[in-house]
This record gives sequence, C-alpha cells and structure tokens, in this order.
Amino acid sequence: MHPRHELAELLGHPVRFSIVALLAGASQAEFGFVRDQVEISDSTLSKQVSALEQAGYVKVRKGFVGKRARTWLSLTAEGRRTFERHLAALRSIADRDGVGTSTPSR
Amino acid sequence: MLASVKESIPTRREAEVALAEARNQARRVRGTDQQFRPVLIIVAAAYLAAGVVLGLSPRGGLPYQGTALLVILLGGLAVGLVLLWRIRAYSRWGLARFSLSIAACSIWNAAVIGVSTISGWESADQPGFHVTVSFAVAALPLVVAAWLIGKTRA
Repeated sequence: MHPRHELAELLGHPVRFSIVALLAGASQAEFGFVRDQVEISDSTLSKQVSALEQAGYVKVRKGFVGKRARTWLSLTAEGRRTFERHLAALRSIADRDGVGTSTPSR
Repeated sequence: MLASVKESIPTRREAEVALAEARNQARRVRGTDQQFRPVLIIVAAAYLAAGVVLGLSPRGGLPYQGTALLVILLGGLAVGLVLLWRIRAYSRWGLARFSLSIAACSIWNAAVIGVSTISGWESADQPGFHVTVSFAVAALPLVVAAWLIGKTRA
C-alpha cells in the first residue's frame, strides 16, 4: 500500500502541520506560545485551531493565570495517533528513492 | 471535473522538509523544560536557607526564628509557584521529570531526616551545623534535577 493512504488530509496544510508538530511534544501549550513558535498571527492560529478542534485533533482549554485569561492547547489521543501515522507516512515517502512526485495521481 | 478526484502526494523532498519541521517544533517544546530549572533551584535554596536558620539554634530560642522559617519556606514556595504559572508550554517529559524530581526529593528528604535522627547526627547534644548539613543533603535531588534539566539540549 502506498504511504499516501496514511497521510492525514488536514495535516497537509503547512501551518496546521507545524501547530500539531509543536503540540505533539507538549503536554499543553499556551496559545501565545504556539503563535510565537509557529510565527503566525492570532487570527490565523485561531482559524487553524478551530479546524483542528472540529476534527477532534486538538483540545482547547480556557483558564486564568491571576487576572489574565489564557488559552491552553493540547493534542487529543486521536490527534496524537493521526500525527504519528502522518509522520510514519512521510518517513516512508522520504525513504522511497525517487518514487514521490508532486504530480496529482489516483 | 478531473481536479475533484486529484490528490497531491508530497515529494520525497517535501516529506523530508516536513519531517525536519516536526523535529524543529519538538526541539522548541523541549527547550521549555529549561524553565523548570529556576523553580527547582529556588525551592532548593529556600530549603537550604531554612536549614541555615534552624542550624543557628536547633532547639529554638532565637527571636523571630519561627517567623524567618515561615517567610523563607512560604516565600520560596510562592516564587516557585509564580514561576510555574509563567511557563507557557510543558513538554511531556519535562513535566514528568519535574514531578519525579519533587517526588524523589520528598522521599530522599524523609530518608535523610530518618537517618539523621536514628544515627544521632541531629540529637540535642550535637552542634547546630549538623541540621544545616542534613538540610543541604536533603536538597541535593533538587540541585541534581536542575542540573540534569539544564543538560537537556533544546
């Protein structure tokens, strides 16, 4: 079976991939931290997180630190599994000498 | 029409770039573990300071000794908590390592106090610095944990 079948469509987007890759190594990360590390705007992160949340990959938790509102992001178990499968597929593609192409196929 | 049934497969190069990005993001999260260091060091310092205050007069008697101990321990705890609250991301292993360090320190602490008491190292006829030494030994796991976290490359 070609590894492309294991790729998660939602993670094909580079920004969403970076967000999930960052969250994969974290128990949880604050919204602002993710925004700074992925180098995107608040609105872009908000939009992408909504998409990931709807897919069940990301969990959003709102809380307070003192008087400051904080939003914490974390990967769900499903999100973690999907990311691992996606990474494995990418590794397989990277290991396939000269097989990968950017041309559409099916 | 045809576009609706097309899908793009990453090239080998694109897959490598994505994998590199994943490694890069994982490294960034690991870098946040460094923020546990000052917390561990402050708790260890507060513990050591409490040992010094107690060592000055192990059987009490110094004015404001109790107040000084309370201020040192609560102050250390408060600063540690504030630093913890300021951390913006917790790596999965960093949080586990931090929790393990605190647990190890608690167990080690109980063992040091037990051995110090049973062996007579902290008995009434011993000089005050014995208490300070016991506190310093008890705080060792925190210092070692801070050192180990510092060695972790981001």
